[in-house]
Formats: sequence, C-alpha cells, structure tokens
Amino acid sequence: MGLYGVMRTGVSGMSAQSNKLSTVADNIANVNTTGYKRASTEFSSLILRSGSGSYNSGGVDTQVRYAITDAGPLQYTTSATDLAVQGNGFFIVSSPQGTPYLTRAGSFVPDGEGNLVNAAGYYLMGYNLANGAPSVVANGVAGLEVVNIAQTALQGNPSTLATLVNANLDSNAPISAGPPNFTSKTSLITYDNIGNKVTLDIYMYKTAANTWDIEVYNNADSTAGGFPYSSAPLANDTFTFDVSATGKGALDAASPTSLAMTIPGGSAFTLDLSVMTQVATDFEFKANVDGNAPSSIDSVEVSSDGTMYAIYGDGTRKATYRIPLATVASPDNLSPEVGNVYSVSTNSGNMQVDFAGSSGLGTVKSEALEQSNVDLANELTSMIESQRGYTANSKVFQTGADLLDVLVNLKR
Amino acid sequence: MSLTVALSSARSSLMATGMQTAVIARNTAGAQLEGYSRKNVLVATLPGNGVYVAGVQRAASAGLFNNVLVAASATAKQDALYNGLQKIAATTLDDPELDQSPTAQLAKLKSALQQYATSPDNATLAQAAVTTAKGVATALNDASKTVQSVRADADADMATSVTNINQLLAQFETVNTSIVKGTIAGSDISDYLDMRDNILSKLSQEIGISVATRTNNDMVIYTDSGVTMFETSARSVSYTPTNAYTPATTGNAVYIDGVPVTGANAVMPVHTGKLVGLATLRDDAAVTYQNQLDEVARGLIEAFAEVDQSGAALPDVPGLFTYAGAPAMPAAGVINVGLAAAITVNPSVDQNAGGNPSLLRDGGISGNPAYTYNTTGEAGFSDRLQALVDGLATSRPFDPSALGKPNASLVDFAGSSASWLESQRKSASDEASYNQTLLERSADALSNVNGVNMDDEMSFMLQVERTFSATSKLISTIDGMLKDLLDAVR
Repeated sequence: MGLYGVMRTGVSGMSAQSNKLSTVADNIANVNTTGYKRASTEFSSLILRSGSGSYNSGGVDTQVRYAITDAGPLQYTTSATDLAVQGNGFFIVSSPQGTPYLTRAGSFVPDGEGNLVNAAGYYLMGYNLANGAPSVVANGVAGLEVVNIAQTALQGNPSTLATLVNANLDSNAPISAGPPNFTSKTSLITYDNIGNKVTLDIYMYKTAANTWDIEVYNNADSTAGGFPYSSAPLANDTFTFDVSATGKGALDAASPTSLAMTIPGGSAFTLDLSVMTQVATDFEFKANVDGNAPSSIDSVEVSSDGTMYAIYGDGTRKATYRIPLATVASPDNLSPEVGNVYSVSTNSGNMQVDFAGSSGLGTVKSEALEQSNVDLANELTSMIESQRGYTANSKVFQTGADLLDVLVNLKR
Repeated sequence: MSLTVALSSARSSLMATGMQTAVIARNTAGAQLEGYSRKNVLVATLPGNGVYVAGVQRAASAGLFNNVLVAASATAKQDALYNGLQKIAATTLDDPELDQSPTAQLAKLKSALQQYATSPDNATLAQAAVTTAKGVATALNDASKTVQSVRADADADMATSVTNINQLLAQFETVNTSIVKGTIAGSDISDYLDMRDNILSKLSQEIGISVATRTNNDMVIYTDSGVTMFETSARSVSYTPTNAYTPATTGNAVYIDGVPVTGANAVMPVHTGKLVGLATLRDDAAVTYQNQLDEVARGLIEAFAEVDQSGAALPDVPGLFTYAGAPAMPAAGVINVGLAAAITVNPSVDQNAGGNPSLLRDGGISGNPAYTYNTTGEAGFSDRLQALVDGLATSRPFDPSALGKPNASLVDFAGSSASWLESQRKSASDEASYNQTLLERSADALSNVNGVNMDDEMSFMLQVERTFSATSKLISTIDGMLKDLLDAVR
C-alpha cells in the first residue's frame, strides 16, 4: 500500500476539510436567515489494520451534524404574524403541493388569498376553530388546514348573558306607586341574532320596604325613550332583600336572582342579578353584557398558546385558529430541506403534534423571529482551521507524489 | 455564538434607548399640555438576549382623577348659579346710585306720601307722589323682566350644554372603542387614555358623572344619580328649549335615557354640573325671586286698595296700583303669578295720562264715587294719605312659599326679599370659591402624580444618552474584534 495509501489519505483529508469549509460557507451565507440552523462537521478516523512493523494510512470519514435543537436569539418585530417558538417544537407548514414539513422560520405574511405563507413559500398549518374545539391527532397532521386571516363572513354574536359587576338599590328611596312611577332606571345594550343593537330599559320600583319590582322593556317600543311602552315588559319579577344581620341587604334566599327573557329578534337572555344589594347608598347598576355587533376584522393577534384571534372593528375578539407545534424524538436528526424546513426521517422518529405550552413543547411568541444560530466568530475560526487542515493534507499528498517521483526516477 | 449574541444584545439596547428617547420627547412636548399624563417605557429583560420594550405605560391615578371630576362638576354648578343670580342682583340690588331696587323705590314712595300728607293741598307734591308710585311699578316690571330674561338665558345655555354633552358622548364612543381595541391588541393606548380623560373632564363641567371601567378598559358613564349615559354606545340626552319666558312659564326638563333628570318632576335628579346650576337657577332661584316680586306687587295693590265709604258693603277695589284683573282684588295671602310684571299706576291719577293726582288724597281712583274718602272736597284732607302711609308699615300676611317674611309690612317684606337674594348669591359665591379651591387642590394632587417633571425628564435623558454611548462603544468594539478575526483569514 505504502505511498499510494499516503496519497489517498491526503485526498480523504482534503475532501473532509472541503466538507467542513462547505458547511462554514453555508453557515456564513445564512448568518441572517430566519430560523436557519447551523451545520457542522464531525470527523471519524478510518484506520486500517497494520502490522507491528508497517503502517497503512487510512483516511477520515465526515459526518454532517445540524444544531437544530440549538435555539437562535429572538429578534423583535412589529408584525403580529411574525411568530417564533420559545422552547422546543416546530411550526407545521405545508409546501404548495401539500407535503407537511416542520420549521422554526415564522416570518409569515398573508398571501393574496389571506393564507399565511413564510419567506420560503411554505403555508402555516393550524386547526380551524370555527366549528368548536379541534380534535388533535397526536401523531399526524390530520385535521390541520392552512391558516387564513382573510375577512371571514361578517357575523355578530347575539347576547345571552349579563352579569353584574355591582348593583345597589337605594334602601331609603320612597315607595313607588308602580308603573310608570319608577324609582330608578338603567339601560343595557344587547345584540340580536343579526347584530342589531337592542337597548333594554330596566325599571326598578320600590313597592314596599325591602321589596322591589324590576321590569325590563325593549327601548324600541318606548315613547321618546320612556313610558308608555307599546308592548308588555320582556320580563318582570319581584325581588326581596334580606336586611337582617346575616343578609346585610343582599337578596333574600326566597327571592329570584335573575330575570330571563328573549331579546326581540335575538336569543334567550339572562340578566343575572344575584349580587344585587339594597343598602343605604345611592342607586348603582354596573353590568357586563356579552355579544357583539357584526364588524370587519381589524387585526389579528396570536397568544402564547398558539391561539390566533381576529380583532374586530368594534373591539371584540374571536379565536379563529389554533396553531399547534410538533416535535420528533430526535430533532437534530431531522432532514433539512430547502427553505429552512425539515422533513421527518427514520432517524428523527415520528412527528408528535400538540398545542404550544403542553407536553414539553415551547410557547409561541408573536411579533418576534428566531434568528439564525450561526456565530460568525465561530465560523471564521472554523474556516481558518479547515484552511490550515486542507493545506496540510495537500502537503501530505504532494510529499507522497514527490516520493513516488523519486521511486519512478530510480529506474533510468 | 457569543459575539453574535453580544451584537444582538447591543442592538436590543439601542432599540430600548431609542424608544425611551422617543417617550422623553413625547413627555417634553406634552409638558405644558392640558390633560397630558407622563408616559413611561416598560423595559423588560429577555433571557439571553438583552432587553425589549414591553410597552408604554402612563402615570395615572383613578382616585385623584375622580376627585377632580367631582370638584369640577360642583364648581361648574355653583358658577352657573352664581352668574345668574349676579345678573338679577346687578340690575335690582347693586345699583345704589339709581336706586332701582323695589325696596329703595318703596322707601321713596313712602317719603313722597309723607310729604304730600303734610301739605295735602300741594298739587306738585301730589304729582311727585304719583311719579314715585310709577317708579315703584316700573322697578317691579323691570325686575320681573330681568328675572325672566335670566331664565330665558339659562334655558338657552341648557340647550347649549345638552348639545355639548351629546357631542362629547359621541367623541367618547370613538375614543372608547379605540381603547378597547388597543387593549385587546396590546398596542400603546396611553394617548387615547389621555383623550378619554380629557373628554370626561369636559363632560364633568356640564353634568355630574360617575364612571366605571369594565373588562378591556371599556368605560361606562353614569350621571351622579345613576342614569346610564354611556354603555357600549351613547344614550340620548334630549331637551326641548323654550324661547320666551313669562313668570308662568315652566321650563322643560332634560331627559337622559328617557329619565327626567332636572326640574320638579325629576325621577333621578342629577346633583352637580353646569346643567344643574342652570336648571336650579331657571326652575328654583329665579322663580322664587319672581314670586317675591309678585308678592311685593300684591302687597302694594292691597296697601293702596280703596274700601267702600258709602256703607253699601261693596268689595274693595285696587286704588293707586292696579293690574289687568281690576276691579277684583288679587286673592289675599297667595302668590299671584306674574303680578309684578303686570302692575301699573292707575291712569286716572296720572297727569300725563290726563288723570288727576289729587285723587290720591280724595279716593275714588277706580272711578266709583262710592269709594271717595274726601266726601266734602276739603283741600287740607290728609286722613286718607296718613292711612296710606300707615298701610305701608302695616303687617300683612305673605305666601310662605315665597320664602320672604311670612308676616311683615310691605317694606320689611321687600327688604327680606332683597336679603334672600343676597344670601343666595353669597352662598353660591362661597360654594363656588370653596369648590374652586377643592378643584385646584385636586388638580394639583393629580398633576403631582401624572404631570411631567422637566428635571426628571432631563436627568433621565442624560442616563439614556450614557446608555446609548456605551452601547455604541460596545458595538464598535465587537466590530473591531470581528475585523481582527477577518484579518486573520488570509
């Protein structure tokens, strides 16, 4: 073997160093690529069996490694659809042909149809929440669809419930003669099935000590905003208050605690009055009502658990998609593909899908991008290393060639 | 990754200092601005990657702001009331040189009658007495007119106030929606919050309000009596102005969300604000003063009434002072609404109107000889004139609801009316200055919390500048290190 072996070993060394230089070149080229994961080379020796008196030089074998689990630093941006994963896990994206891939590059922007697509042309996948909670398939991508933030059909939500923050009826108010001589009045805006505002006029009459009648009318039936109303009250009931040392002005145990009605053109509506009191202070009635009017989507936001919300013009928000994260048993063994995406291989293990923040997965960070995990200083030193290594190997080759030359020249 | 991370941290530091500088600039620009509150940048550490700007926060105190709102409403109410009373008093009480007040005119009439009584045959004195009587009637007519014009002005101001309230509520709706949206989206809403507070300040000048905040910074406005003004959307505030006022006119009430909140029939009456001050003036203070003027007029007609001298038991009739209802006397002891505006001197004693001033001495001003006191036609007859002078000093009942002395002589009652007006004006003025002080103190306290302190801003700017320089230095150092490395590659 002798000299030929030396030359082959030199070639194997040069080829190994050029592999190393190639990874350095890629790393430096992608130093600012969002979601890029550093490639590196590991070498292993190939030593041939040698006798005690002679040495047969072998070679070096190159293994390419990808630092996929090594997270890059986050860079803050101002776009709500720029997403980054903090912790383990990958976004599931699909190529235009529909093949699923994993990626950490989350610079998504809506395309002409409102589908979120990243810089490499891959579409973000998520569960559509339009039909309620999604059913997650833990080991596959079934049920996922391309996340779309285009205007969905304008749709309001009818009001169904009003809850009190606090409410008090003035215990010292004089006894009222009954409708239309109310003691106190307030009103609430609710929404019917098609999103019209329906104003409910709520009248309180103190009919006897600690006894109040509450009537709810539809404001649309009023005369100049008050009595007389052209239709009967939507709901009415008599509420009594417990003024004993235990009750301290809260609703009596025997008293009703809510009013149920159907909003004209709307849904069944409950006015929960359970926290109402009757103590010696001014009238007060502060309530929260659900429901919203139809309005267009103003912006979107993504919460840390991956839920994408549409924010409507009137300030209400609605969950539209849930973006899951996926991971594999050995992320570093994923096969890199063009566009910072990774495909599942036998080495990496199967894809496991779950929501962000659960089963060891990281959280989704909106308005941030994961930068490349390449460190320039590191790459430059590697480059010098490989350059020196390559030169040394070429010297070995050249020396082998020179010696062969000497050998050949022995015969004249 | 150390060098790259160092660069990235330095960049995040530059970003944060940039944001801090922007906010210092905003604070400096807003330092002299009414309703501007100081903004702070919330800088948070990002593990392993420097710092990031978590948001912009504004310095605010809901409790102190609420104090300012309450004080502003109370001040606006008393100011409106005081200004109206001042207008009435300026033309009726505060004119010592012209002696336009009904009290001064009554005193003049009394002395003219006394002089005439000492020489009842003097036609010049007779005419002088009639002239002062006309002065009294005119003073009452003018005072009544002033009161009604003040009511009409208050009514017009109420209409303006209601228009303002509706406009402010409409603006509030826009700003509130932006705040709710911004809160959900997590954007910088601090300037919108300033705008919303500004609108609330303006609104509190017009009407007393109480506010509550719901989820997502959604604000609800109620009047201080609990009527809903704004909840998701603005409620209607409606008011029909009345253009012309007579003493019998009752102004319309202001309705909020269908509930009357001003006037006698208010179900949930509002307590403070300019609107309430104007309504109190129009429906309460001015009406009471008008009632007092009417009572003075009724007292005058009664004091100068003529009694049947023929023994036929004829009813009393108005004498020197008369009104549209003559020959019947105004009902005794109760307010005859509008009498002060209608009282006149009987033309049969007015020389200018072809009358005879000496009828004052003789009686029979109404034209019926049955009421003639001086049946013999004596030129020195002074009994009737003496009786008239006494009549001015005789105690007579007045309607207690007029809030003057219920049982007093005419001159005393007129005096009590003047002092009632003066005391109302004084108490309104005292309340106004008390509330003004309270408002200033509350505003000072709030300003201490949310105001911009230029010294603080400037020293903070120096700190930011130092951080920026240090970061820049860091970047150039890292750059130098990378350059050294690149030079090593040959």
